[in-house]
Amino acid sequence: MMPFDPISIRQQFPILAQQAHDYPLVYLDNAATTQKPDSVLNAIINYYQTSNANVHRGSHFLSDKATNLFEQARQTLAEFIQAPDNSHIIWCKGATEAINQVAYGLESSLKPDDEILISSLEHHANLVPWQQLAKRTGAKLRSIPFTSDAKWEAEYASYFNEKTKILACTQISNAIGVHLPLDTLIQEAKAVGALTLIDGAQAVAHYPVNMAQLDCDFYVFSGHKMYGPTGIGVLYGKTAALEQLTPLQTGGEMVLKVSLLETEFNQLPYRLEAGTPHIEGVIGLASACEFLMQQDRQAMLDWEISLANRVRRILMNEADIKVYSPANTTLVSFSVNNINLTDLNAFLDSKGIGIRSGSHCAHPLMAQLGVSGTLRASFACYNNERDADHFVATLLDAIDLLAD
Amino acid sequence: MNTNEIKDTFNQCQSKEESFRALVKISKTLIRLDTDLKTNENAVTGCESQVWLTAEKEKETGLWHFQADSDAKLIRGFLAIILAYIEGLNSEQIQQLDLLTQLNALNLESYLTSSRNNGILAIITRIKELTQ
Repeated sequence: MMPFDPISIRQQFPILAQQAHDYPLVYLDNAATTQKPDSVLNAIINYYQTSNANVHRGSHFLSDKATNLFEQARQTLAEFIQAPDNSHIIWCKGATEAINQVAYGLESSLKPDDEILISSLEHHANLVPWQQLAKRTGAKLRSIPFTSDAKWEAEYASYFNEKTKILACTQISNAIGVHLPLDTLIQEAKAVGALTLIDGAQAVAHYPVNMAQLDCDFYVFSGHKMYGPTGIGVLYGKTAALEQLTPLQTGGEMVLKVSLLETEFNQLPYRLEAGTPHIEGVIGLASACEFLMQQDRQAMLDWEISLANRVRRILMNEADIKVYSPANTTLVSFSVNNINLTDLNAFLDSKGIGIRSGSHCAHPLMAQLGVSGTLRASFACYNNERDADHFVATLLDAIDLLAD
Repeated sequence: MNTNEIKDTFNQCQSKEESFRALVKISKTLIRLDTDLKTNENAVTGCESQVWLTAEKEKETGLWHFQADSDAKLIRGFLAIILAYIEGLNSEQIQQLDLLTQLNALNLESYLTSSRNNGILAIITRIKELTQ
């Protein structure tokens, strides 16, 4: 393990060493997507320069090389999330596709009046697939409300009953950085025999995750939010849970035997991976896992949290700023009284600072908070104190400029 | 500000930041819309910010007069500029006017590439529709 050094980490991300609108680029939109280290980019280039072929089917030199890299990558992912073995790792486009696969795949096991439980903090990706599944099956979608003073209703246990068939919730809110009490929620779900899906999209770049410990049925995440490429992600599942799923897509790769009228599906994980996979994405994602596993994860997380806290402390003291995210998380989400978010975002951009303004694909949460959107500054390992301080100083300038 | 003054102001801007400050300044010249005109009918959809636009044609002369507003200062700045270019023109003149080219000539193109967010394109489209 390498001791965490924010200076040498940043040097591995050459994209950050550029000017944006004549100012040094400050990238604080990491909850949307992270930048990629050289090692990930090189792994993808190296794959194409030395090993490119289609996987699993050819029997020639390059095909064997590509297949070995591809299946080693599955092993790396299994280690990264501490899954028991490779068969639990299903490649998909990202967390959104993974959730859609599970929602579609469980359709035949749902009856009218069954209940699907989510939280009010969900990204639309972990809401709309369940809402649509509920519409198709007559099942009822329920949401555990998160109270505006950043606390859970104490009695959320009351949302679980014998009709609850699925609990699908995020590990960390993308919009406001709140962590859900997963251990308790999963325990409650298990007590009523419900399947559990955890959306780890906002967690994996920051927190080591352990499937054996977490004990959920499904866990999903996207590669691009954890220093890997876009278009690749993972659906982890326990064997029995994955076996229950009807494949979302059918075609090549996922079959053993096909006649005109019948198909015998392949075993896991291939049964849920139709078509030629996103091989370069898989290689790049495995490289991103290696990048993370080489780090002192605790020191890296402490650094990210210290930057978010540094920003948050100052914003909390500004009378016109309302902060929605708790302390000790890796992002700061806030709004400014009587100042339009688009205006603030545009001024920050003009000074080279990239953050996100808007609803963060979480309309129900925004409605609950009583805002149309927030500004969100989200941190990654390569950010530094200069980024944090430049952001805060520019934000305060913007507020001065834009106040009526 | 007339269009020549606008051109002078924005051509002097050396950076996106200066353009932003100039947009905020010019936004203050836009006459705000009465609340009762901020209706769904007058709303321009396709903008992240709220935008309203009214267009009225003088019967005798066929000249158009506009009023517009937004909750975002940046957009109010753009509206002030756009209205300076189209106020008091007739339908034919407005249809022939290439507003995007005019805005690009003011070094505002970096705002227009993010048109999905700020909806300048939607505003221009709406103006053309209303004045056909």
